[in-house]
Amino acid sequence: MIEIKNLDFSYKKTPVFNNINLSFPQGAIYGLLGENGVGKTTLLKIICGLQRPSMGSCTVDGLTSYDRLPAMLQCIVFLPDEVTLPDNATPQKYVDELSPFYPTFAQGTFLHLMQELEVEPDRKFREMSFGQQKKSLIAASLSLGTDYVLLDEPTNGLDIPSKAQFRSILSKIADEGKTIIISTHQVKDVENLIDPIVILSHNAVLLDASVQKITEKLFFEYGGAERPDALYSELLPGGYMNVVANESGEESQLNIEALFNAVLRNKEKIKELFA
Amino acid sequence: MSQTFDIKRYGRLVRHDVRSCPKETLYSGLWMALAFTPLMVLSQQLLGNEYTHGTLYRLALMVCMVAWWALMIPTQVYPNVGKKKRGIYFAMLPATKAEKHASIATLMVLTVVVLMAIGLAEDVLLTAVHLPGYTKYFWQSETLRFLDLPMVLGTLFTFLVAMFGMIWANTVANNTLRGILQVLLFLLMIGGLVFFPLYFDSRPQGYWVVIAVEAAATLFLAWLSRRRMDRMTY
Repeated sequence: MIEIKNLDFSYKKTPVFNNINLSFPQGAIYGLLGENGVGKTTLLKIICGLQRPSMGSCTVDGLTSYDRLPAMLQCIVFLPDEVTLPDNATPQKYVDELSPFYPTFAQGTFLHLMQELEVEPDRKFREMSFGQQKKSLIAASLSLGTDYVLLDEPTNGLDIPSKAQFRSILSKIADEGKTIIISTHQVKDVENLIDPIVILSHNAVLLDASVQKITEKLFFEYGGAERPDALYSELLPGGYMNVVANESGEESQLNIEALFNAVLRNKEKIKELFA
Repeated sequence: MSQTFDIKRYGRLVRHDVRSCPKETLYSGLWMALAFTPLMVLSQQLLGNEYTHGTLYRLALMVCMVAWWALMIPTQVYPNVGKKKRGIYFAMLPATKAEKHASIATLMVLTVVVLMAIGLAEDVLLTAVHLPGYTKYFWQSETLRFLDLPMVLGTLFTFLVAMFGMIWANTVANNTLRGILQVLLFLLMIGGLVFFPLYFDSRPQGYWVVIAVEAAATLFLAWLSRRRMDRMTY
């Protein structure tokens, strides 16, 4: 389990997190959402030990992440948004270099994922498009067999069919009990995939709840008139979509973009609702 | 599994680093080791100068060339260690910081040893075929001064100072040309400080003072580069 306790973090004089607490139990796909610059990538970096908290702690299976001990590094993989790849390397060579450090690496899984994502393992990175490179890295990262997979903007550069394949692959991996944390702006790409959802704001965690809890507390109404009590309204073809407090306990279909906007515009109200 | 230093993991890391070393870097080093002394000897022959130095002298010159070239290894194999975005791969490799530090140092030493062995083998071969200028084998050399203990230690520690300085430069200077030049300048100053008395001070005790200073500088730079690697964030 990943546990963040009373964590403070700042870049020199710019505070990013102030006393945040989060936990990521195993076996789920967490969606990490937030506006630009709120610290989504920083949080991922803190979790995998690339940044040091100013106060508080971040542990992965009980090990302090910043110590970057091999036991911790072996069970976590982080795929940043931008990766510099050796020009002459191929995806197969890339995993050949990495795999000796990961006892859980499975060559069969790697080849299977490469096939599913339609990328050739023996083609040089420099001959690939950005999207193909990204897919290769996704396949490489997931085939390492780590318990925790941290993905920063994983769908950037992927075409529409690849996004669907990506979602399908992640669902299978989550079923195997792995923990996946996805930081993204492209919420539509991961809709119906991420659960629970964590929304960060400046210095704080605004929301950390499962989809079930969110739909228990909020009602997503489609196709009606604009409601004055709505936390967020948006005009869509066919009428307004309103996000309101779920007082009747009725079930509704979650819309992550609407949720995100509702949370950002009603920070205090959301805190009260989810307290 | 040790969380401080595991010899098997360290071995895996060295293999990983050797494999990820750009081939162009290895080839350029190989060419330098193979071409340097023959070119030097042959150019002297062509100019009509009598060249009478033995293998050991040529080897000493080769040491200087190869060792300084090897110092560039971290900038080639670990070009992104000190960079915020690009060093993530290095930082996330499941090995301890001590193992990573030791692996960089090992790679530099290995480079020198391997290239020197290749250079020496070539030198022996050229001496065996009596190439003009190649007069004596390594073990027949008259230039035994180079085997003096203070001289050997002085050379070794100069290399170590430069090596750890280079590793430190690579992490501190973000592998920028300006940063590395600054560090090289600093190292040259230390080198000058060390070699000036070594060459011109004939008192034997003077050598040992220099060696002691170099040993202290080696330890300090090794500690500094290790500390920098420990505290690096990305």
